[in-house]
Amino acid sequence: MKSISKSANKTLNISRYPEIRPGTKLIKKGYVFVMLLIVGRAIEAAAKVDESVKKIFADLPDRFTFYLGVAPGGPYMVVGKDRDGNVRYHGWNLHGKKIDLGMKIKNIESAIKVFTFQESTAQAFAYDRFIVEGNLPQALAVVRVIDIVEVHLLPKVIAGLAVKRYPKWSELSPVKKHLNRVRIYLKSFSPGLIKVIYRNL
Amino acid sequence: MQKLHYEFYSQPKITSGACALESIPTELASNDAHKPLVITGREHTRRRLDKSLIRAFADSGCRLGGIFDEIRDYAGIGLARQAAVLFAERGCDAIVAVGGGPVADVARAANLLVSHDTQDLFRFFNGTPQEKRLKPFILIPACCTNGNESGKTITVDNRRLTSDFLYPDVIILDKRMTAACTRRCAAQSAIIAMDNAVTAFLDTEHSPMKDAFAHAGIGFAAASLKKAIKRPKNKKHSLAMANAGVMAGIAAANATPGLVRGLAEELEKITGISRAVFIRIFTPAALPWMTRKTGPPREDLLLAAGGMSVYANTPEQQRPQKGVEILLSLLDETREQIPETLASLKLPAYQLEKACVHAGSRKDFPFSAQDCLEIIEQTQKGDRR
Amino acid sequence: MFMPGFYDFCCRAKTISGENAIEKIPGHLAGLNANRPLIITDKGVEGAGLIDMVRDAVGDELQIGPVCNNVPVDSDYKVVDEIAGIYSHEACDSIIAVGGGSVIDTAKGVNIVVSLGGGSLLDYQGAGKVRKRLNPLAILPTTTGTGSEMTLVAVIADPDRHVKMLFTSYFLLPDLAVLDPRLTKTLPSFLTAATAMDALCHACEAYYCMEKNPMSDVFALRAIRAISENLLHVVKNPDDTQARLELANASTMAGVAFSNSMVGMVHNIGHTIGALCHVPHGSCMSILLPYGMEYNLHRRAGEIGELLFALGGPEMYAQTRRTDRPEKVIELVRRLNQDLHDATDGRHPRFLKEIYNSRGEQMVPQSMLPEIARNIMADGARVYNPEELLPDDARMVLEHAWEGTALDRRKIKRGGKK
Repeated sequence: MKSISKSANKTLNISRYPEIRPGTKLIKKGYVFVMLLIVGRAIEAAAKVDESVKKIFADLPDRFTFYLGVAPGGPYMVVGKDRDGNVRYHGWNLHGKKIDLGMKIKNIESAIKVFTFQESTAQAFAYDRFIVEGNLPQALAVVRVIDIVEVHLLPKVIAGLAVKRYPKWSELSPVKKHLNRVRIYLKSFSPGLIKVIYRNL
Repeated sequence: MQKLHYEFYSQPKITSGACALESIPTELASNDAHKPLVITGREHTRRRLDKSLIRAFADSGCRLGGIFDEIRDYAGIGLARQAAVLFAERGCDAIVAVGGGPVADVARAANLLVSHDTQDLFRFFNGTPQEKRLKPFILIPACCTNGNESGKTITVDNRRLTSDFLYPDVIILDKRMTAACTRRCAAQSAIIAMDNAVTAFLDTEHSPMKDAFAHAGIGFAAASLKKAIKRPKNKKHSLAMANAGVMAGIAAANATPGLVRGLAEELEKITGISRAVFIRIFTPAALPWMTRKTGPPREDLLLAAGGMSVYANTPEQQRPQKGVEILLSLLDETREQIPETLASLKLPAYQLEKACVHAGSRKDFPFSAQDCLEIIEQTQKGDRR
Repeated sequence: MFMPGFYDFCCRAKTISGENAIEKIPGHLAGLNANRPLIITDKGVEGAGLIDMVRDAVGDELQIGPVCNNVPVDSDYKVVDEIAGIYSHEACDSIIAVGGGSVIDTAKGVNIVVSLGGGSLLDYQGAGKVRKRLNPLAILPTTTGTGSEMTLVAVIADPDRHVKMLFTSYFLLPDLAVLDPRLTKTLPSFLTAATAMDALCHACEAYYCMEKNPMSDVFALRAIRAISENLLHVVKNPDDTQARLELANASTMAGVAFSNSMVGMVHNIGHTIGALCHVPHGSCMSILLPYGMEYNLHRRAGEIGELLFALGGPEMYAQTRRTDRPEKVIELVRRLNQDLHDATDGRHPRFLKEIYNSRGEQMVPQSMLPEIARNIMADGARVYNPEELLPDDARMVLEHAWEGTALDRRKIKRGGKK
């Protein structure tokens, strides 16, 4: 590069064009962080309550651990099966965990689109917003789990946007549905939440 | 049946829509680059387009090597050299260009310099082959475009260089960037896009891929042109028109230049008036002339401009003509922004002649100076009527 | 023109088409500073005399290196590593791949290893590992269907671990895709039928599935039009060079379309049947395509109706009422399958129960259907299907496709709005 620099240098005041270090979007990151925490805890709860989630995790390998997050710098959530096969939310730290499957949304703005339900998870996949590190069938299983959890967590108006097919009343009795929903909410915000936050700090 | 003897090449990956700007860091990373130099124009930084770009890089871990915003409406070697110095000083590894024609030209010229580590840009113009691949180059079309930015031809100091290596690697179309500054600017970009697409449909070499790009280009132009000119800052329509510009530009890069295009380019060089004005003036006379000379444009023109229903409901023999009619009516939408007659430009006759001679002597141009003069004459005749 | 909220599109391979396209390879390789290519192919292709034909066509302008003809039916990483070793040992500087899907995937794999300088393909597993321009690669497809010459994926198996490794990068797109009618001349007519129906399926699904975008739409429509105009003609008149070139072009354009907009349930179920019953890909595709359209009809009636323009021609499009168009499209696809069945003396299957292997055994026994349905969840194409597809739904579709009856539309579960 030397040959270029010598002559033109005199005519160019390079300090007029400073190097730029782009900032950070703290509020958006914070929002996604909280959403991931809720979804993570809800997956843990749903794995105990919902039959189809239970079955999906049962088909995954032992001690399977995955994370979902935003590239390149987080936030993340880590969820995995423990020694006894119970599904646990492990918090937001990736360090010191053996990860089988990583799913990252390409950037924070795309993550906002997904977590404000402007784009369904399938749509986001179609828009190529996800980077999957690991086995694709496992990633698809995780996406299915997230879809089911969203149906449980969200009112129908919003969940209808987030998933392709909202389960019909005929498939899921209303009593059971609401009961499941309440159980998932209760389990998600049980004292275990404080424990997992404490462990991650 | 039309023969399928053709070659087609389109290097760029086109990314368009929501969060397109935010995907730049990922695109850079997939090209193994992390620190781009941004090259843009004064007008663009005045409209704070650079700020949108910087915001899109938030949390990406990428740094921007600098924002070089010295480009106005002329691409010169001096600017390319300065950009190359900045690139080298900051240790950049990719170039991002925000803007239209001259910005993209300077950016690619600078890319040639830094990739070959040389001062001598014009040796490539004189025929030295490029033995090295260029650094990753991302183009973000903004405001006024001239259709060359998405192709493989650059114009520096009024000299042209065409090479497959000059295609952008990625083209980012984002509605935060594509809004036009004025109605006139929107109209000019639209006219050039349409001419580029028509060039592809008139080309005698039949290539379905080129036609596909031209089809999409004309399709977007037909749907959005009117609204994009009426409200140049409208995000949805300006994005559609930017899509049209890029697709038509790629189609034209794979086609032999049409008569209007070649003549308009030479006149632009001589008079400094935008090529779009000349395209607008000559097309009504040139399309019938081309139909007589090389045959009618392919009926796909009607399919693209009119859509499936119009095409299907038009008798087969009338399709080429109907396509031309729709195209001319689209051009007419620009009448408030772009002069319609050659006389209104008050150009001296010697400039017109000179342009015809220059166009006729171009190697890539299949028409003669005489052909160009004929078009000018017919245009003047039409004006008088 | 349809404009989605977001799309990306890339067809980076330079396409060379024509009756003497192969002769142009040396010039284009020279433009990429290469003149000693290694040839990758399989025994079938070599046995059909295509390699000799390519050698004659390129003449003395290239110093052709060794010919590796040991590509298995499913590309395998050990073969990739072996060929990569030969490439380095013989100091080649580019690759010419002549063949179908597995040859093309193997060539892409070899190109990763030799360009990035590793010892084995296993070093490059995982997302984002291929981030540099690779060595020149020219692909000469010998079928009219896979479209792999235009995709950015390579699927290569690891037989020891029983997994299929997926490599994805825009740098896997080849530098040259060469379409020459001489390459498909030796293809038997029932394979022409199956592979072209595969291409038709790529184009149709690209047009109505979730990632559809304006560029893939125009490519898809053109591909469908060319296939519907030429396929039956080529099957009956294999010597029509121009029509065969049209088909090869259609297949490549369908490849561009589906590589950029992905495919849906037809591929999802088709891949699963392929993996479990080892059925040729094209056969599954042609059988399942009408079912895929029927299943998604309530969400995509407009798009499927537009396919009539390409499939039946503009006159039929104009004469058919808007509301009747989607049904007409489904009818036309079924009729095309029937016509191909007749033209190939029954070798082109219409239903799943009609697929037989070379020993005359049924390849998809009815008892397998539940297992196939269970396994559909593991395939990526499921995500891009407009309507949700769960094992129960797949089972329903499979049973109809096996018997050859139209779907019972009342059984399709409709989820939400569009």
